[in-house]
Amino acid sequence: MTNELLLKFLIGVPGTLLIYYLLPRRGQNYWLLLVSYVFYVSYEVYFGLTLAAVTLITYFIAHRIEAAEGGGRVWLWAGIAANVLIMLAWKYLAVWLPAGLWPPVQRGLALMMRTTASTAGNILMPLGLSFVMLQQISYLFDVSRGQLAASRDLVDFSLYTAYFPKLIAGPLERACDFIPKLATPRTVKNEQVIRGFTLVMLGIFRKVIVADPLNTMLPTDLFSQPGAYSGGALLVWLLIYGIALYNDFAGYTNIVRGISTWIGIELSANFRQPYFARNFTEFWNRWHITFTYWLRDYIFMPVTRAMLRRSRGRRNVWNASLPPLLTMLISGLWHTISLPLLLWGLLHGIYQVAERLAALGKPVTPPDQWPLWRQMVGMAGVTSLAMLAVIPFGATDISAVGAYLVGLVQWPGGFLIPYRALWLIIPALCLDIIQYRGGELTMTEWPLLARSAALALILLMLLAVLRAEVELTPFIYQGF
Amino acid sequence: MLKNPTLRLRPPLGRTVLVALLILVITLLILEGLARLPAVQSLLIAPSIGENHDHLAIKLQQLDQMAAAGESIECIAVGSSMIEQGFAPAAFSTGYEQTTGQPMSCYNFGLIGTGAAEAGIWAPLLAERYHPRLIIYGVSARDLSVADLQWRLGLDVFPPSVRHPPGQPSLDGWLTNHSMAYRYYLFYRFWPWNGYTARLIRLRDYQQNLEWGFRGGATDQRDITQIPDRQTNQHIYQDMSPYEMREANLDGLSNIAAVQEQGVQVIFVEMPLPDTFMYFFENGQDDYQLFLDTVSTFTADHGIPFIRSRPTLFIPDDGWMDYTHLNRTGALIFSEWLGTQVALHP
Repeated sequence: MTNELLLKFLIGVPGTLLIYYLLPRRGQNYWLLLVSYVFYVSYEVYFGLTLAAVTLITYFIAHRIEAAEGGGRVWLWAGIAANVLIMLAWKYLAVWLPAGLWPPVQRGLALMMRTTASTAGNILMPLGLSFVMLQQISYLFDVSRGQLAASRDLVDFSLYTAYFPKLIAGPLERACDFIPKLATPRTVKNEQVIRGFTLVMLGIFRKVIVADPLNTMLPTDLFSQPGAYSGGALLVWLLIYGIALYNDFAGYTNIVRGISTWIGIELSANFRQPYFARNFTEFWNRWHITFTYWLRDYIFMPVTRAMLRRSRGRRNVWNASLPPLLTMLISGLWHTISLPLLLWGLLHGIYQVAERLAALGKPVTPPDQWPLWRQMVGMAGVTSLAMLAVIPFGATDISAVGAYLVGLVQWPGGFLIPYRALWLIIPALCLDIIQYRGGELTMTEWPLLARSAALALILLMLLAVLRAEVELTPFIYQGF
Repeated sequence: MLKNPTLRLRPPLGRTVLVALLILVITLLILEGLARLPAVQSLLIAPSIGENHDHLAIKLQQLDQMAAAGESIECIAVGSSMIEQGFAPAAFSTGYEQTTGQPMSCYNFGLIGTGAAEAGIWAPLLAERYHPRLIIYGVSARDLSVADLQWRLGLDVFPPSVRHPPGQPSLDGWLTNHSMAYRYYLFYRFWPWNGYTARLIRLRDYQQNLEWGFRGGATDQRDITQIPDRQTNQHIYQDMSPYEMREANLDGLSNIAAVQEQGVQVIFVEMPLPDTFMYFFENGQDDYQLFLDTVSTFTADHGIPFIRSRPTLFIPDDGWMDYTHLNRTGALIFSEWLGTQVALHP
């Protein structure tokens, strides 16, 4: 399978940039909007129709919110409900299309989606719709809170929704940060070109050189038939899957951020070496950061505030437990409404609750001030538990999760060391250490020979992958 | 300086990329040099020509090494897995010597998963490259009927001259023809795939035990006295019923015959089959006779001897690996017998 998204970027971006640079600012926004819709419609026409519908609904509801008294709560919830319902409808259309619709509508939908009612299982939810929904909700909330004026420019607002680098899997951009960027002239200087190039190369390294070959090495039945593997093998493959998952998504984010930097619009970072986190609070500030911030601002904080309004104080066990647990459960369900993902959310919720309860009533010390041994233990513990939570992330059903866990504890039973994977994991780990110590783009400050050698190494590794006929898998998060 | 309202670039820009490309080129040249060193080559398995076939690169490498060492390759046996499994060069030489008093060195170039079309591609190339005085083609009914076998098995045995025909230059073709490092890379390029390490171990073992292209023959045997089960032998039934000879395979026969124009003698031999094989045909013996008639006519027209193995040659029931392949016992009997027969066609 080829990575359609990556190919579209590779083919489409140079031409897009060439014309973009020749246009005036206003024309640039029209151009980017056109390109974004062409890119989206190139998958399926109904993707574009859905996106336009979501955009228009949110755009007009935001105006009603602004015009209404007291933050327009009714309109706010109507807007949220509309977005959530559209996403849920698409997400589960595949399940209920065959029998659940009025026949003419069913036939019409089937025709539009180039499928038949009997093959409705093949229906694809518009890619990235879950990400679009979150951004629409954040926009409505911000307008309702008076933090942002409802956009009067439909083109700019549509571009905020459809902007192709972040359309499929984020990063999730807040409207109050992003829309003003569209209204100001953009400048791309040497610094942006270098920064964008570095991000794209780092993204290619993580996605194409590390994640795709690691995914290819993974046994295809690992999560469906874990009983076929020894405990040692299950452990090693789990670590490899966890590393591949991280590099896949971090690589994707780097590539789109690099492309957007060339456009002159900076997108937010999404990953900062999450497996080096020393506690789970830090982990979530390093893993899928923009999503974490969304959850913090629109789920965690409102729930916390609501519970505090009922008083009982910050040291109350329920106040410390319920907000993170609820937040992580919603996070799991946002990915997919399934038992494994619910379990994934529950596990991460439990990790956070345990951490908060253990610290309840004690002075908070930042991990940087911990003794080294505690930092190391923290890193090992967080990584181990996060990897454990990766099992339901990869499994298709809850029984497979159980079988995997049972297999893991049936130790020993043959320990497998895939040396080939080390050739990928060690350079990826080195990159993480370099970025952890020096910052995301620290390599741009290296001496010429050192940064050239690093780039040459990436190109050499890319050559080694190009004819390997690895499964160029779709970016994992584009499925959500 | 490039200056427009959005893009404002100033020199120098791109030095890192240029130096990186320079380092990359130097590194690739070093790798090319290393790949040409015999000491390094001895650590590796075989340089590929871009094929996707477990044994082809190893056999070509062995032939190249033998030719470089000045060994006389008097004869090459080409064909499918029936030759690969059934032609034992040492036994053949013994048989040949029994009649002529002289041994004959004959290389087994049987390739699993191929038919007459592929043999027709390789026979002229082998003749041109290694100058044998004899090409033996082990032909079977299936060689002429099989279609898209490579596609079905996911194999690719095409040489660069076919994959990159003259007049259609390609980077891949150029690199395959000129770069040893690239050819080794092609061999090892599937490194991320599952089972890759096991495959390397298997191929290393194959290479180390390969003598004149023959791995020694299979040691397992199957009862071939029973009527073949349709379910487990579905792929053979698919090729034989209805029995239709394909144009590409008949063209392959012509290409093999054309080797005679290079001054190389060509002999066709009917590959031995158990009697129960006839059950694979829709029309039994009649279909098989059609195959025999076609090959007999073809060889007669081209002045090529056609050695019939049925019914002269007797392979015992324990000489079969399955319904189409000889095992070690059968291969030794067949090859020695073939040596005596080839000796009759000086």
